[in-house]
Amino acid sequence: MSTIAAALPVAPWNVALVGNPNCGKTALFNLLTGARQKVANYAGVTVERKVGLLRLASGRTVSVIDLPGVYSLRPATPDEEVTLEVIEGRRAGEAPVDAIVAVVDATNLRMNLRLVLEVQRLGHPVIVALNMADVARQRGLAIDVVKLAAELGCPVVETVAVQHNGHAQLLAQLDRGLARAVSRTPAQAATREVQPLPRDSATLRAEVSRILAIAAPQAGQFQRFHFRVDACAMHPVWGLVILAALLFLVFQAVFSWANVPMDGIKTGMAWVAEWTSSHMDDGPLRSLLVDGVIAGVGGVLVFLPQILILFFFILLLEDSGYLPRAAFLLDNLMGKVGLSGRAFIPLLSSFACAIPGIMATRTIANWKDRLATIMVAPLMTCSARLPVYALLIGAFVPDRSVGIFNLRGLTLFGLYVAGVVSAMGVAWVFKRIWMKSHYQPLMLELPPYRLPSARNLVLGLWERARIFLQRVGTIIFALMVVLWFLSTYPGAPDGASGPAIQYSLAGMLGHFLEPLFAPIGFNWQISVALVPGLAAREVAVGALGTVYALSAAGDSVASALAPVIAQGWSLATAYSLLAWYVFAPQCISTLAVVKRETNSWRYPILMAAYMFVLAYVAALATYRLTLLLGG
Amino acid sequence: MTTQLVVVFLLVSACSLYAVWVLMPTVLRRFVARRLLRLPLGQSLKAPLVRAATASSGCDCSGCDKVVDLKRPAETRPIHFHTKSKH
Repeated sequence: MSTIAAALPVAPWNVALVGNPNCGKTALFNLLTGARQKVANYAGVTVERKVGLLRLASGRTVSVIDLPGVYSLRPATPDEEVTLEVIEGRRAGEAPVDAIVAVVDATNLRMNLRLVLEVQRLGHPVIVALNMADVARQRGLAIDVVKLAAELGCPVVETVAVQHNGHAQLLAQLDRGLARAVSRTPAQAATREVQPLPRDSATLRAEVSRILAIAAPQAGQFQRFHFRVDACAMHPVWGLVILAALLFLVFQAVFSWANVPMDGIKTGMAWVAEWTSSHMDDGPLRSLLVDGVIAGVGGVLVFLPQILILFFFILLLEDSGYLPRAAFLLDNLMGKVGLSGRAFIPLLSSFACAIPGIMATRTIANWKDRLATIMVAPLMTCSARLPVYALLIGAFVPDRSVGIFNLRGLTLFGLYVAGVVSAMGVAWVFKRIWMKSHYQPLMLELPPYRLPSARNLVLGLWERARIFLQRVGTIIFALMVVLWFLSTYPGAPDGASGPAIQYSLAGMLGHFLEPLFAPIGFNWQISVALVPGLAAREVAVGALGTVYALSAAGDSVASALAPVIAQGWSLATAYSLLAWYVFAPQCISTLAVVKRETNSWRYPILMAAYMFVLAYVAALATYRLTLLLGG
Repeated sequence: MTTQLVVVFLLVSACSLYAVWVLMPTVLRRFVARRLLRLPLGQSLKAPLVRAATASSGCDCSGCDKVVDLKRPAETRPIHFHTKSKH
């Protein structure tokens, strides 16, 4: 984005959005710039600076910088340091900010205004955006904007960042006031008067109280929280029961709600495969399309409904404000294994993908705690593992009820629990023998409960679907085509009896790897699928589709991979592969992010090594045990 | 059959190049992109190469162009509890 800004004929004004965590900065950023950055109802979602462009009605371009939330200008964590570096103009290669929009949660003025007073001391032109003004008004909190502006000595505008056009006043103020504020010469700007921060926070509190007494006298009595709901949701026993019930519901829904759309996609894929076969002459292109693209890519695409259902619930929980409460409920457990309570949100983000989870560890101040969280984040079950789990559960676990639960949903829940338990176990070992540090108590601001926004939900699901489809249409498609080539050439020699794939490059690779994986029950086809699975875990499913399509007598298995493996594999092999994927060595992108976040190759190499060993040992134990039990 | 072979050859070549490009380490991709930018290429090819040549490592976010000094020992920060004001 900074490259785009540099390419503009007139340098844009740099405006930074600064505010307390969870006051709606990123929602406002999205509204101003049309971006789709992640928003949620808890502190610490944004951990790095993001830049977007905004064109004002006057035609002037503004470069809007979204920054991690801070409580004061004395940073405690790496993400807060980023904010201070940017607004103080200390960040290398970054133009200094011309003005600051101080985003304030209108329902929590007492805390938010302290930061505004600190920001004003930096000497930049400041506009205060009174966000969530609609919620404050609905709940009877009267704020006299004119008086507030007079007391603060800067413009104050109301915004509703989750509403279309909720930024109208801010846009008008930017157009009106920014030209005047930024028209100072660079020399004038360089000599802006920076006042020292008060050493005693009591001074700031007294000043905030004075302002509130004039502009919003009821702010002190304003109730932000639903204490009765929290009495249950955060109860040490009932809270855990509610959390477990919620998670059960999510995993049940992933299986029971997704059947119809998944069957629809399977039928569509089967029809496309049949149509392609009947309308094309036999030849390599037909084989590539039917056995490579449709069997491989279609095999992954079929899991889109399950991924969307999982994210539907995650987004609901994120938007409602429940997740930080779950963090508090589990803080005791986290503390027992030596992790910081702050590790909960990064670990939770890792259920979507380990990459944002690893980046979210920036909110953890202690380096050893942060490193331990980074090292275990890939053990949380990311959404890329879901297709593998769903395929194997669909093929090997009967679709029957256990009490009020579905056995398949229970199995999936068990696999997610296995991921969490193994992460806790590994963290416990790391913290005992290598990354010893004192327990850091969890200090996390609880957000008020909010009704999830339908707009956020739809946009969030659309974003997840877009990301998934983009992966399917780009890297997964490319890898399936390459795998088809490797599985087809060279062809079978004259007089060969087995399927041609056995004589192909992929077949040779599979047979080469087979001795390594045979002790854990993997045949050569699975061994082949594990290799592209390193690029992205879900590719393993597509790879199995392609390999089995080419191994089959000729007909497509695009829509029927599950029955094919159900017939061909033993129960022990299936369970062993499930165990393998609970710990599976993570994808290459995850290793790259670990390298970047730790600034060393040592940690990603160690991570890959310990996860490979864990996966192998777990798969071996599962395979042998299942065989012993007659599986 | 020949047409099918030609199309397959083109598809497999393009997909192989794409997969190698996407999966190669960012440092190597940056190096290759900078070398390729020296060639007289069309604008449509140049734009993604410029992006690759200036990309930061790790992920495709636009914001992280610098690693914060993470190994700095955490400061001891005492927690102060302030009594609620009467307002």
